[in-house]
Amino acid sequence: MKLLAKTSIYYLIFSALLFSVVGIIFYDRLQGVIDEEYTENLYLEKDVIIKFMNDSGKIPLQQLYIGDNVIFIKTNVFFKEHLGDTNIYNSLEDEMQLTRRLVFPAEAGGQKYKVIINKSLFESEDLVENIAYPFALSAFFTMIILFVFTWVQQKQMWKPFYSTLGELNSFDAKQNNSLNLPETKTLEFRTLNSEIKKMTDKIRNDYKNLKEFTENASHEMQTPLSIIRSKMELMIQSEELTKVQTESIMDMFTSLTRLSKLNQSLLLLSKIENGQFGDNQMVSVENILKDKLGLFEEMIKFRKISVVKQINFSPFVKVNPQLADILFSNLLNNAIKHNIYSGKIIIELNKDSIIISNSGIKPLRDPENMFERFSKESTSGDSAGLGLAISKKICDASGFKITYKYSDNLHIITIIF
Amino acid sequence: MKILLVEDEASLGDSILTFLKKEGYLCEWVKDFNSAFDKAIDYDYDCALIDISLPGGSGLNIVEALKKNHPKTGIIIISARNSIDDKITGLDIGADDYLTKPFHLSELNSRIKSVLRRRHFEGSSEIILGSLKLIPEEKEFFVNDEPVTLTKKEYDLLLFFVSNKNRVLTKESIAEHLWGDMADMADSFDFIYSHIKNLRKKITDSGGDDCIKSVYGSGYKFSTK
Repeated sequence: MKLLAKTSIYYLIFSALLFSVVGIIFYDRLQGVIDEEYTENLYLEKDVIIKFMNDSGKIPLQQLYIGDNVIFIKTNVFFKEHLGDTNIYNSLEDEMQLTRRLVFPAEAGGQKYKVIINKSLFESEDLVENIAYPFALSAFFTMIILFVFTWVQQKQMWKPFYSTLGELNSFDAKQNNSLNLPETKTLEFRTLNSEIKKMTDKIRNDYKNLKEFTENASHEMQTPLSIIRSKMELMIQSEELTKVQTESIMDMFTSLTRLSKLNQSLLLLSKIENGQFGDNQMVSVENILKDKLGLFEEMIKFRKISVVKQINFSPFVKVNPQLADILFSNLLNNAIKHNIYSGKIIIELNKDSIIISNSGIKPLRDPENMFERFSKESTSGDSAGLGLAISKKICDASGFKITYKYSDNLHIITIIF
Repeated sequence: MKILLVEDEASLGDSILTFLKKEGYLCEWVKDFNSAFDKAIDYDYDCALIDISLPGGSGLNIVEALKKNHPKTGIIIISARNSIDDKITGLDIGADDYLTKPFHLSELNSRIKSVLRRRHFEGSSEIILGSLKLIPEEKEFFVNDEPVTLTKKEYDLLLFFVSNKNRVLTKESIAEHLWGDMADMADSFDFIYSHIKNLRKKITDSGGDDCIKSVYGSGYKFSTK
């Protein structure tokens, strides 16, 4: 969930709760105040009535108390004054109305009376409604306006954060230019940006150094390797070598070949990473494939591998021709190398993908890492485990997607252009 | 045959020089740009082996100087930089071949031979070794003047042997000659073994001498009696 949505939802829940609580308290108090007012009025009337009855010795005229219903009942029974609410039928309004009733004893001219004052609470309800509704409405609108205001304000406030985030998202250690972080007056964001800038600059720098180191190291290794190789080649020609010496030299020779292969592969990897290959061109995948199959033709025959080509479409792909060459050489080489005798290779070419499947001994133990450098399934010394890493790098650099799966006893490599 | 070697790395130059002398070439070795440039202008060579990165300048300039002054000299660039751009530039300005370090001396030898053949016999060269005859440009092979059909790889193999006759060729150098960068293919040694077997059979079946011997532990050797 987005930060803004989250804070907005919290804000909405909180303000709704707050306004509800305030509303309830307000409503309750309002009702209380009006209620007390009514009760006070009742007692006031009582005082007026008693005073009138004491002074004049008569019961007052009904007309004096319009709106309130006052009843005088002659009585001899002693009773206590009491106050209560009751529903009384109002013939004028034709409905039951909540009424507050005060009953008290009074005396006029020696006659005891039971006086009942009925005060309709109908108006008090009206009053409460008239006050509470506008209040609730204004509270609701206040909430909405505040919500919109905070939304806009928060959006504005977090803007630098989001641009920083966007920049970070597109951060690539391989790129040369440092992040373009927005200027902001907010202290926290300024600190964040400067820290991020420091960090990413360091990452880029480290990456560059590492890359340069690999490149230089591999490069510098070429010459000593050449020297060792040439000296050994001269040594082999000697007639005086013993059997043991020859064997040792040949072992060295084999290791040296591996070392120089490894070195060349590392150089190639760093070259691809550095983007040191030229521009992309439109290349016919089918033609490269034909070319490479030609190169491996004798080896394929030698291992009695049957090749099935299924060309559904012959696509042209934008790629550096050299890299495409290396890519398909690697993939075909792998398909042959990890194949079984009398095995098969199936190549399916589609509009936007190529699928190279080959029979093999067994599924890989660790298919997730097979595109990693130095990931080797076998301990055989003839490969450094860089072939697929190079293929992956080429695919990355060319915007292809390469995947591996194993099904129906086939190792399947799919490239989506 | 006179060869100019331009190589700043002493040990490597020394190996190449020893090798070439054994092959019977007359060889001159210079280690820096200026002396190489002077030689390139003043003397005539059959073939020049030029390292690109030299103290004092780029080997490419020497290639240009050679081309200008002695256009008949065959030129092979030897470089630590395995970059296609360098390769293309080198070949564009007139080099005949481009070899990336680290290379096998036998490979260098075979390239020199090929350049010399193209340069000196205008492609109409024949190689005759006892009962065997090769016409490299036509990719034809005769045993006792009878044509023998070879596959492309068998032919490459034979030519590589012939270029390096009387020398031990390791399986590695043969694999690299046949497949270049793809030499690490599985079974490439078995493949070489089977091809050499076929090649020997084809030669002996046509009545030729069995000239390819396997040398214990190290590789193969082509020698004529």
